[in-house]
Amino acid sequence: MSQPNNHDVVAASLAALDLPTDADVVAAVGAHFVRLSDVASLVMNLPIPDDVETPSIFEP
Amino acid sequence: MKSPVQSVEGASLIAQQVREGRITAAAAVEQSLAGIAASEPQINAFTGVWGDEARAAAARIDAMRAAGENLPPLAGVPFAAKDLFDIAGHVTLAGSKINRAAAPATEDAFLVAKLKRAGGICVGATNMGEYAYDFVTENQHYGPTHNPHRHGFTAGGSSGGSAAAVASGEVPIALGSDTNGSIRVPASYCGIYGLRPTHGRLSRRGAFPFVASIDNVGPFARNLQDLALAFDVLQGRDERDPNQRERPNCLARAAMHNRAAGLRVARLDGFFTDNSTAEVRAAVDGFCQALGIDRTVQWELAAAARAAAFMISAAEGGAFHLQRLRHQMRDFEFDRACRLMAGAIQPAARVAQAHRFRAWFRQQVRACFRDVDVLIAPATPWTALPHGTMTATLNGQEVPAAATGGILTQPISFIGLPVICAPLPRAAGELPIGVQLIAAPWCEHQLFALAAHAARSGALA
Repeated sequence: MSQPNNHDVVAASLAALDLPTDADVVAAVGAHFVRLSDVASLVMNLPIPDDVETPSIFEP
Repeated sequence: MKSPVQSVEGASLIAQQVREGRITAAAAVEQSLAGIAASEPQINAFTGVWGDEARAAAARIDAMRAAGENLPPLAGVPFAAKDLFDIAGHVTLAGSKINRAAAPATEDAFLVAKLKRAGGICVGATNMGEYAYDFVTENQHYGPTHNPHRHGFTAGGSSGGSAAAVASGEVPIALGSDTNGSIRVPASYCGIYGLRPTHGRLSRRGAFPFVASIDNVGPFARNLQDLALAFDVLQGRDERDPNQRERPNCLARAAMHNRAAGLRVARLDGFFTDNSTAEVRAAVDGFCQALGIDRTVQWELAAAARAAAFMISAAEGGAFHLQRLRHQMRDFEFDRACRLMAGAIQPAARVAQAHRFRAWFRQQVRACFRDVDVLIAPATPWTALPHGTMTATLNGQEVPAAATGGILTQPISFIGLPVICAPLPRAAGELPIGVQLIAAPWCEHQLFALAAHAARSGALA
């Protein structure tokens, strides 16, 4: 089975939220999505301990 | 450029002069309105100026004095509020075209009401980046706000209008909001003071949201005394704001007289030094040398903290605006709408992980404050850039200029720490640069003590 490309993923995700899927929008959102994915890579592989909990309202 | 700035007094002095009968509140308001009329063609700091309402409020202050009543601490002081704070009778635009169709606010935001009850006189609302998702205030609906120090350069954002209004002398104090740096970035670029208090210190009620879990609000001023005065007035319990924490007030003006000698101060190195230009590093070097600060601290996960703040902001902002994006996407600035939509479609696991990281990073930084009271870091990686700058070089890499303006503020606000952004000394003709003074949660008094010491020592502009 072929992997969906980024354009397809972005278009499907926008459609799932009932957001506009015009070609210019999908292209621009896709560029930002790629940038967000790059940024996210700094966080997603960190060894956060299992006992770290997120408070329902952030406490400084 | 010619500016009325220097001719308009600070808030503390205006209030004192009004109390003593040396000027009237009406005169103070007229001076502010005249400054606005003179400066706005060059600066574009305001989205609304309400002279008649300001004159009526001034008349009430003057009548109080004539009747022998005690005047409140900001009596007769003109102020402006970023156009995301509700001001009764006016539409809260939040820098958008879409909100023009909203009904006028029926009551003042909590902080606006606080300033008014203290005798402050609201002269208008200030320009901002659309929906506060911005570090440059190059608003396509209301035009760009120009830096009062150099026309054609950014005033920073998203509270750029408030910072420019204060720096240009149109008003002595103004309100802003700061999710990722929107008070500190414009304060740095415009050469004024800005305070982002501890998350939960001040009520956010009546401030149009952006990122509910990170949003914060605070004042701008041209001097530390005025910043402290504004902060003292703005504090107070608001039972209608679920985000606010019940804590004893920080007595900022009193804290300015505290001894700073015992404070343990260190410079944030590593990420914060690497992501500063040589000019900014030199300015912060000078500050540290003047105060004898030779200790350094590193936050090894600062880059990840900035990344997580970026992810959470995009996700929560995207979710918050979902209905507007569905039905009015073309009424947003196009690129901003697309950024919000990219945030909205992030996988949920990413956002959850970013929040878990936030809790973990908070623990690590809290540990750092066992040995240090105040941390020092530059506020912006560079001085203000020309409007429209798309990319800039930082740390050997070409980076997006507008978004990177907040690279040094995001890791700090991400965990809710209180920060004063203060202007560093600059030579004539040089653009301003700000330094961040950062304390543990609820320790704003230490920031005011150190900033007062630094100002007296000549380490600040």
